Amino acid sequence: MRTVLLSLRKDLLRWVRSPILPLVFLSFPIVFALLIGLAFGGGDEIAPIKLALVNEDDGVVSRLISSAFTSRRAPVAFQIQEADSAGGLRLVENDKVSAMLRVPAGFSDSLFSGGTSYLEVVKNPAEAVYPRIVEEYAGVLALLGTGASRILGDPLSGIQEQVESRAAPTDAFLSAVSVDIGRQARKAARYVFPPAIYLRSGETEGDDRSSSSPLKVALFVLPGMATFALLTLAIASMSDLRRERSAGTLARQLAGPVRPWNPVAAKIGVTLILGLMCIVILGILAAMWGDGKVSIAGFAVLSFAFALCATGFATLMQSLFESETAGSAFGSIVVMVMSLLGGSFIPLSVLPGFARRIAPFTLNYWANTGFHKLLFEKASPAELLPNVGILIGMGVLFVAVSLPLMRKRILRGA
Amino acid sequence: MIQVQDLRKSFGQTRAVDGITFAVSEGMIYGLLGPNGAGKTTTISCITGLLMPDGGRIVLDGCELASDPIRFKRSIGVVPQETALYPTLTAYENVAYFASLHGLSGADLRGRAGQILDRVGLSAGSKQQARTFSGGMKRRLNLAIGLMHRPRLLLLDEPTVGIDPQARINILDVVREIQREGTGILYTTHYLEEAETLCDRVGIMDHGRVLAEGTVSELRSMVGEGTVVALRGKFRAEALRASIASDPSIHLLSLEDDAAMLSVGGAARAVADLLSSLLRGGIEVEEISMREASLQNVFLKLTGRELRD
Repeated sequence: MRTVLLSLRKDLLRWVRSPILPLVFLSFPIVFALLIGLAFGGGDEIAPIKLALVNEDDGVVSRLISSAFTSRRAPVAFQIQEADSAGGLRLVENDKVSAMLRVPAGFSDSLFSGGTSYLEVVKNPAEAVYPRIVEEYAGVLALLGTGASRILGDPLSGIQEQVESRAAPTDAFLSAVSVDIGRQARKAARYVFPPAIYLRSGETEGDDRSSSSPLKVALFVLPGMATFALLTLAIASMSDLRRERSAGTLARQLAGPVRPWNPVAAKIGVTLILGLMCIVILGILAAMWGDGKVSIAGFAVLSFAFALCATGFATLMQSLFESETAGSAFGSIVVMVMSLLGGSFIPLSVLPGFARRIAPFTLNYWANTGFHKLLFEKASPAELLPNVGILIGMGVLFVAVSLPLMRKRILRGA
Repeated sequence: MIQVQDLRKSFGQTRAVDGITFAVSEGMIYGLLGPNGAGKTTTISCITGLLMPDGGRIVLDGCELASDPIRFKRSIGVVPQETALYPTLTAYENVAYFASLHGLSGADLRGRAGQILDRVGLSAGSKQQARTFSGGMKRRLNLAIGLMHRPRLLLLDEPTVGIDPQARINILDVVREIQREGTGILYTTHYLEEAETLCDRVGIMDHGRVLAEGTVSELRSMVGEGTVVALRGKFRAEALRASIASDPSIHLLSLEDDAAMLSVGGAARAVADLLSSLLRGGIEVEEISMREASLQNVFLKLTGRELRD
């Protein structure tokens, strides 16, 4: 044990003297999380959606639909480019707009006569999200238009005729239409707008930051980035055993009264300590970015479990191959794949179904979900037990499997 | 002190060490001399326990390596061929770390570190990181680490390869000092003059075997007590052999088309007799040189080729 502690102290001193590697791995998740926070958490403003509007109808309803897209009170900002049908399609094909909305000729008349009307949306296939927003918004307008035409058919027909006559409406006409609309609405209200479900909404007190503030987004991203960085750091730290083998210092230690597993145990200890130090620093940062109300015990246990798991994983990666380069390269690839599938880079909820099914087989998954439970669901240590148990179990298993391999590949003839 | 008996080690089909036997006693410098690939480093690796021998015994002061490796290793110091140091640790931290693995601590460790660093001429740079050292300084630090825990037996694996003459002299001086203190030293080298001037006994190795073993003078006598004569001229091999066949004090060491090397026992008169014999045999000698027999000649005689530095 004494020789393990001596080696451990020596290695920590070496890391202190040459701290670039741990600093890089420590700063990576912080910088990356902040960048993502700044990119996606800068407020509610999003770029307006470019839409080609082809209005071939020129009736009251089509004007209402047009104004629904250009209104400042619209839930999404649209940038409208009016065009004819061919021009609108060209705009879509040339990626100038996200979608084209066409209101066909006779739309309003058909609606008032009780026939079926169509709104046509042509989506730009090069974009994923914005065309869907246009489609959904047009769908809502179609639903509203349908309801309005059924309930307010007569008054709207009167308005349509008034518009087409291009004469100024008289006071008597306006009051008659108003009374008619009010009467129809009151008649339909009992059936159309029954208040079956009430929506209550509000904001939490004392938090003046927007829910999508850069720090909140960064905090959301931080655990995933941290697990990726720590797995990579663990691989780099364990590969130090290989570097010592190449430099001859491992052989020199083993030529002394040292048992073969002592240098390995020391490297495992150093990797564990480095990982824990990084997690603690990141944890303090997370507490500053968040509301700080997390279980310290839960954080400590989960951090230890993940650091142990990462160390075991790195030990296994280094024991599988003859050379440091092969071990580190293969380990890095595995870490990248696990990070991708385990929710380090992309939130698990956004991943496709098959990826979500594979995710529990990655170390990142158990670490990421654990830290998310801790940070955002304020989980207690007991609620983290599945994550902690699996991470510790995997860590111990990895170390147990890799020690005989390590003895065979690295220690023999060092 | 240490007895190595019938040591064997193979890597696949290659016999790196093929049944070698030697012993090093207290205060003795035993040289293992041989070209690269002769099996010297493999022998050292077996003695330090880094390689598991296929056969044979290694015993140090009654302790057998195979049965009690930890106790065995407490008594040996190793100076590997490469400078096995931690570049970001200081000279003091390097010696202190390896010495602490041997159980040194506290005032004893600090005192010994100061003493050893002074001995190898590094006391001024004890707080400097090893990465800032020159090649020679690193070699000296490499040696210091091996001496820190006062080993009974010091294993020096080509400790002077690739260093400047001054550092080489310093290292050889330190080796002689610790020899005087009674430490046994196993010294591998492919530098002939180092083996000749430094070693009490020398084992000449090639292809994993000790071809000859003894003191330097004993080994020299294998090629004749006296002189090595190098001839250059025009001669046929059969004629040369016939000319010297009648004199048992003359041995042919090597023979090429226009050059031959012979060992001649006895004094200058024997050389004169050799020349007379050659002339009588119709051999034209254009150039002749004479020198004392060396380990190079021994190696040449044993292996049929020269040991290049």
